Amino acid sequence: MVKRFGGFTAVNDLSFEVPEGGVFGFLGANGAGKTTSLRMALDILRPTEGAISVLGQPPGRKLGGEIGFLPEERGLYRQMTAVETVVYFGRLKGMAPGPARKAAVELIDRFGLSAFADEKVEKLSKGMAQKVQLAAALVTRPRLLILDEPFAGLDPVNQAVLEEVVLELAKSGSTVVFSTHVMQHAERLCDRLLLIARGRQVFQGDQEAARAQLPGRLTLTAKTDPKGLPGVASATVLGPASRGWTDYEVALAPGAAAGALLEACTTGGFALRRFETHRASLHEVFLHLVGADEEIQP
Amino acid sequence: MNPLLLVAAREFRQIAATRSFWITLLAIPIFIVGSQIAGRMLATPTGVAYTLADPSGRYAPAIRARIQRDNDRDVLDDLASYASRWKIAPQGGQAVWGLGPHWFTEGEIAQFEAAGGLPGAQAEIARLKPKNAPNFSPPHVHVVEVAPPAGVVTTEGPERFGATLAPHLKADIATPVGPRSLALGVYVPANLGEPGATVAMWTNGRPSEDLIDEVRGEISQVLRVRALQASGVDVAALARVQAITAPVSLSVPPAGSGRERMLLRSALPLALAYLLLLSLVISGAWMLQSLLEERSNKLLEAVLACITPNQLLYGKLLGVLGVSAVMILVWIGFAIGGAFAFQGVIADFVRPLLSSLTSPWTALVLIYFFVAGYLCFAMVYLAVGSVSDNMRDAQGYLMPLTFTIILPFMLLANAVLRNPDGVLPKVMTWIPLYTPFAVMARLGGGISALEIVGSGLLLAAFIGLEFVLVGRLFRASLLQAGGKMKLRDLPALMRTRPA
Repeated sequence: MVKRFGGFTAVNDLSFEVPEGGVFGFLGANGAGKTTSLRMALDILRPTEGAISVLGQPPGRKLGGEIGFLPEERGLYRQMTAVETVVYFGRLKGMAPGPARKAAVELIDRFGLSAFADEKVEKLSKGMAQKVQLAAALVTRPRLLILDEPFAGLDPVNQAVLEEVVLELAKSGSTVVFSTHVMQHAERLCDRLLLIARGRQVFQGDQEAARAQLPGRLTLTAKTDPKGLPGVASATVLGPASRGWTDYEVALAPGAAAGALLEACTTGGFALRRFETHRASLHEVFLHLVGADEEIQP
Repeated sequence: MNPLLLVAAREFRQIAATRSFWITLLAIPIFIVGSQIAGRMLATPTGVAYTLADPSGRYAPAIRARIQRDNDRDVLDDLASYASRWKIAPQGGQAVWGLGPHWFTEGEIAQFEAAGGLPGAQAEIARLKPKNAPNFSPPHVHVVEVAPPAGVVTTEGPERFGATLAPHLKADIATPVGPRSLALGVYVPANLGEPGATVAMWTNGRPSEDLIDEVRGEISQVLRVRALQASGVDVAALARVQAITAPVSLSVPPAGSGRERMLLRSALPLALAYLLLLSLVISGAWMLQSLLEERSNKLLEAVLACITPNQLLYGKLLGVLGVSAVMILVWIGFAIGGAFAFQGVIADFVRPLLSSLTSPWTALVLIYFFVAGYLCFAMVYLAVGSVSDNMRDAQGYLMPLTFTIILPFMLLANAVLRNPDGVLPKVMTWIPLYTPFAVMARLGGGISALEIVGSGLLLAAFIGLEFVLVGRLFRASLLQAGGKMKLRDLPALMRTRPA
């Protein structure tokens, strides 16, 4: 899909598929086109070109309670109570009054807000209000939950609560799509990832595949320079030699596996005291794929 | 429930829970009732008192007779209205108060006085009136004579009379009909008619010109008779001449006809037009607040993920429309309650106003143009809300918009009362924004069916266009990227069909 606002292309030829079940991360720097893409999936915006299918149908409000959505910009009707808010959103999505109230009370209780259920939103703390918003997104028990920057503005305790909710939902069979520019959350939660930069897709796959985008790195402690070993692209001395041993940082050649190098060392009699592989972080993967000038957080 | 209705119900509850709604709802009836009560309590009697020094005794009887006739005309007017209101017919049909409200001639007044005046009429009415009819309450006596107050010297010439009277002109004076301001003191010298002799009058600074003219007229008449007698005219002949009055037949249109009819028939439609104006100005602010709420509370995306922009827009419109309808109905309820509370007095006033509702068609026309007028301007408010980010932005548009509604309406109302078929009312009938006001205002004075149907259809088309364009504008303004919407972009945005 393509989305243009006047002369500005916010999303450019983006194409992806989210498998049902699990947590799908939508990663990118600020302004990369994440929110615009999600808005198109919700039919809040229409693509300039291309087509979208959500749960096997064109996006639209007829999907109703099948989709839950927590937007990046959070707000509530200040004069409504916590329960009324959740019921209202449930009813907007087609729930009958009775079931909507029952589900609202359950969610409010689950988020520890029972004592504040009948308080007006304007009297709730920011954290409480955010839980009410999340409850409003979950009230219909959606098959697909779309969370746009869900951790923004949450304190660490509430971030943990939200992570727990996301994982529970995924475990119960729902599909969770969430956008973020904070790679730690993605690392902890996502089964699959989509990285975009300036509206274009730069990667799609699981975390291992993402890490595989980076050349492997190792720290070796050896008596001789490992530069000549098969699969080694470069080796840099890290620290001073100790009793004849030297620490090296080794970069593997593209496609070379650390296991194959270890096997080569063992069979070739290459003396090693340390063979430590580095697991690349998503942050490093992101920087590698899109460049260091994009605004992201580790 | 349809999401549109859910939005409308939420808007209704939200506005109805505000203080401003209740203040507005109650303030107007309270103001009207309060002003009526205060008016009654604070109103000073409209009548005045005068005192007369007539040392010769030749002039006072004529002046008193004239004042009495005028007072009796007032009594007859009220008696005739009362008898008509309660359908009291005098026995034999002889009493003039049974002839219905009209302009009573001197002869009819003389006939009334000869039949016993007010006491005679009251005695007969007491026998004839229905049980539920209140007793007749005579009007205030407009002019009452009092004897010169104590201390006022009447025997030492006009200067002394004036000097001693002056302090009494500053305050109310006791009269047989209650305290009245002493508005006029008259000194008629005994030698009036001789060279240099003049009638001297003193006022309290608020001279009643009618009273002064009447006093002067009656004194002049006495002088003329004296002059004629002095010149040898036979007294008997003079009496006959004086008895001659021009045989005038005065035709007054029946109550509720002629120009009065036009004014009466225009009153209700004009009142409805004012009501429309008032409700628009009041609910316009609610409409803007309502439209900006999601944006200023950052929950637009959450709502638009559930419902379409049009459902949100028209749900809000419906909610505010409901609030306005309740407000108007409550006001009308207060008016009806007031009419009952005042035991028919208001009903007497309102009944002729309802004369404009001569057919169900007229009532339908009024309802159609009232609702259409509301929708027509409500869409303009919604357009303003669509291009504003917050109330502060919207306020910038609100003042010119309010003037756009009020000023032409004021011009129109005046123009219609002068001539409902004038150029301005006719032209404004065909300008959709003013069509509702113009048609309602002209309805009482006569407007052709062609104009009503034609302008009604044009208005419906205009509102339809507003719905489409404002819907597009609202959708375009939502979640827009690329900064604040500019006025010059509006035409392009309105032309753009939703993707």
